[in-house]
Amino acid sequence: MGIDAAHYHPWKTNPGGKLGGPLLGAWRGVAAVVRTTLLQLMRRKAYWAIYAVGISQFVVYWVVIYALTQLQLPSGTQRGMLNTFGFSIEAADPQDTGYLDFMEQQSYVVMIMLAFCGSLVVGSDFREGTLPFYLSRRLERRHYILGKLIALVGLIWLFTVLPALILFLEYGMFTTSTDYWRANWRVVPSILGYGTILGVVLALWLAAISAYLQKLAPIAVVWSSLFVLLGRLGFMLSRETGIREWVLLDPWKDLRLAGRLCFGQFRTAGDAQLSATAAWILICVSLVALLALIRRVRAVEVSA
Amino acid sequence: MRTARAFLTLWLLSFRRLFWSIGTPMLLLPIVACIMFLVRRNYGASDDPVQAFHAFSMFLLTVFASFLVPLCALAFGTAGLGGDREDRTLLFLFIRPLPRGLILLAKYFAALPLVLGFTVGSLWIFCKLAGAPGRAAFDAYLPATLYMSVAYTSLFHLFAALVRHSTVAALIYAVFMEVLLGNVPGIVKRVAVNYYGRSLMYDAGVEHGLNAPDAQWFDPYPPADARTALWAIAIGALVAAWLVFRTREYEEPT
Amino acid sequence: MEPLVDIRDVSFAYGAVRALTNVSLRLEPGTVGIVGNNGAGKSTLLRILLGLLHPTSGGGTVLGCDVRQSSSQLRGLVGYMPEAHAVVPLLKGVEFVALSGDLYGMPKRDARRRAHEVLNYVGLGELRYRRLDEYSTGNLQRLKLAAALVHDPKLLLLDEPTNGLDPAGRTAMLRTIEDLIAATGKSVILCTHLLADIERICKQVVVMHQGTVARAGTLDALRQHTASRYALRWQGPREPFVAALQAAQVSLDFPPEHAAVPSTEQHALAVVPTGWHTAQFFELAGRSEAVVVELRPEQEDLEQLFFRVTHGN
Repeated sequence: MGIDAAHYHPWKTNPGGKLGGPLLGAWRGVAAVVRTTLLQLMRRKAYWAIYAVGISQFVVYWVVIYALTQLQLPSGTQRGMLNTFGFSIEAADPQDTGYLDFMEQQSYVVMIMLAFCGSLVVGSDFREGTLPFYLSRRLERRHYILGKLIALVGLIWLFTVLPALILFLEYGMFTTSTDYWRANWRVVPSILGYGTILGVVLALWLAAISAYLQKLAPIAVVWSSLFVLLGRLGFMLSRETGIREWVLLDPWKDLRLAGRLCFGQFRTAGDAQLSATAAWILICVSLVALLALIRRVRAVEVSA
Repeated sequence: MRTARAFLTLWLLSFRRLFWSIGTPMLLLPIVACIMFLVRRNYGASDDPVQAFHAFSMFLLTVFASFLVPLCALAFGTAGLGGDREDRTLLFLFIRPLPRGLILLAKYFAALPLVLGFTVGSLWIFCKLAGAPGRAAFDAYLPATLYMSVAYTSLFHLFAALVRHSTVAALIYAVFMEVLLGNVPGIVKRVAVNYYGRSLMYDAGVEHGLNAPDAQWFDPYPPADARTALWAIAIGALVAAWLVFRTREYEEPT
Repeated sequence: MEPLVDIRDVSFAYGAVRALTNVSLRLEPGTVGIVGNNGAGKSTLLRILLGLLHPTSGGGTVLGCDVRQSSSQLRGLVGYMPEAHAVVPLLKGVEFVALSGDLYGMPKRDARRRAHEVLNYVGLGELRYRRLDEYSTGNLQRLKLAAALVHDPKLLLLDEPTNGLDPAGRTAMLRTIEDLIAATGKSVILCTHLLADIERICKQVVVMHQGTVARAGTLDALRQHTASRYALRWQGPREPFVAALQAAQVSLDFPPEHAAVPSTEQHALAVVPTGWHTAQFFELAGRSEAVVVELRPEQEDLEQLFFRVTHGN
């Protein structure tokens, strides 16, 4: 257990500089937080189990669309099967909601994955004293928060945006040219926009809840109450009272309406009317979550 | 005598830890949300008592039985033993002068009163708030609530004995098995504890005005069989958990 | 030479609890030990020096960086080894140290290369690919030291570096720190309960007591006050000699009976006033018909200094 025979060597670096200026140093710190967060997650078997469940729906979509592009079916049959998934064979069809529907249907598995992640990558930093480690380096509170949020957004995109974009690429195989992609190029920014809303909102809410609760069981209780219970209560209130605005109690509904804003597609005129309110609700709650998160991180600096 | 005292000490310690954990106040949040919903809906003020009973029963079926009961079991059923696994304090349990099987039972019987307290307690509060339909509903649905609570608690203790992140497993079960598979037509819903619980509730509620479900989507299990199934799940899962915990080597005792 | 630490009237309160009250310190580059009872304010002071906490009032500089305005820059110059566990779960040793380098703003490649270098240096070369949850307490302490060294800082802040180590591990850790100081000339601020560690490594000492600095300075300067302490043994009457010494403003401390001291002899610890000459002992003894058998200057060790400062206050 003695000192290694090697002597201490000072750090020799290129003339370009050691730790980088404030911006470069901050960027390296944020990137390190993102990398480490994702690495921590991907080293858990449970993550891959959830990922397998989550990606199964994508596989179903992939297989069906691939089969439909390869099999010689009557166009009516093809159209009908595609419509089942919300896709349309016509270019730039405003009824084409397949990508939107796919991203919405990933909501349950995203919810479970995030409940798990919250405890592992945010809660554990507070519980096991890792946060003071981060903050005692050349990292400000905002860089730590930004790194964690980017990691969570990336995670959400793995389940939603990335598969949706792959489906978009695959769907173009219906045409033998790039016509589909050129005609439907707006789908890409729509997917990215919806993915950004999903990612930022869910990441903020999760980080704030996990920072305070830290352990998996209470996070799961609160998280599932938010995304399952409120939805059911909102639906029942809306149906039984006739006041449609009650559906906005459901965060998933709010996210979906905001997502539909990105796609410019609404199921009903009522949805279109509620979308702006839904967006405001998401913004307000997310701001509260951000402030709560900043306050919690500051409290750790003081008490650690 | 020494074993009995050790068992009681562990039981009491586990109960207090669970009761005073952060999970307890967090579990109040969904209950409060439901209370606010019921106050807003005010089923007791309805002119049509049959319709009010039906509507209140649908709330109990879709929210209470399908969500709140498994959630209460998850909060305490996984936090007891599962919490020790996640916190890596299993070693401190294993060095007690207690056989492993008794350790599991102590944890189980520490969690069970809390689960029952929250489920039965919240059912009582909801039925009180619902007024007249609630009075009939409490008597009708109390047995199903008890059976489901015990079954879920046993099942989640089995998850805790088997899997390190038992809360995630329980959440996946509660969301996928119960919500998704439990509502598809056909026999696949029989994997869901909730299916048997709701069968009992439908059976008890029909005579008070609850509309029978659409058989194509939900064909209730016969009540006697549903009770047997829930007891079998409760006892079977507990025995399985006992066997697993007794014999398994855990990688993460500390 | 720019001082290592120059803070003035620094106070900090956790709500209603005042952790630090008007702390002023000027420390020169070198090795500094911070000692104090639990709750004396050591960790709070360390966090302020690290720029993690902003003082409620007062301010100052560490390595020329303002503790309020330039805390990020300051932390780039300082390597901090915390007392707490503070490791990132699921990482391997080399990944953890490289992460520390990344967080300091090092280029990624440099961080990885330096991680290997410092792990070799602290003796964890063979364990670098092990997961952190497989490390023993001693190895974790060395790992934390490696994480603090990765960016080659000018100043090391070590909070209880020998915490939880067995005697061999403690010796090895102290040798590592001594070797580091000797080889690189880095400044070290060592915060510990173990006074022997500070006596071994540090040239300067800060004694904290109830949120204030009770004493600060070099060990030698603090001990200079004790140049006026003598162990005195004499034969003959006790009371007349004691009275004569006390009349000459010598304060006496009578240690418990010692088996090595014959019962015909008296012994005491004498603290003499400024300007005292040792010949005066003999003169007063002669007048009191006592014979001085032994007169030896006593050097106060750090433990005695610590208790004198904290309990005397």
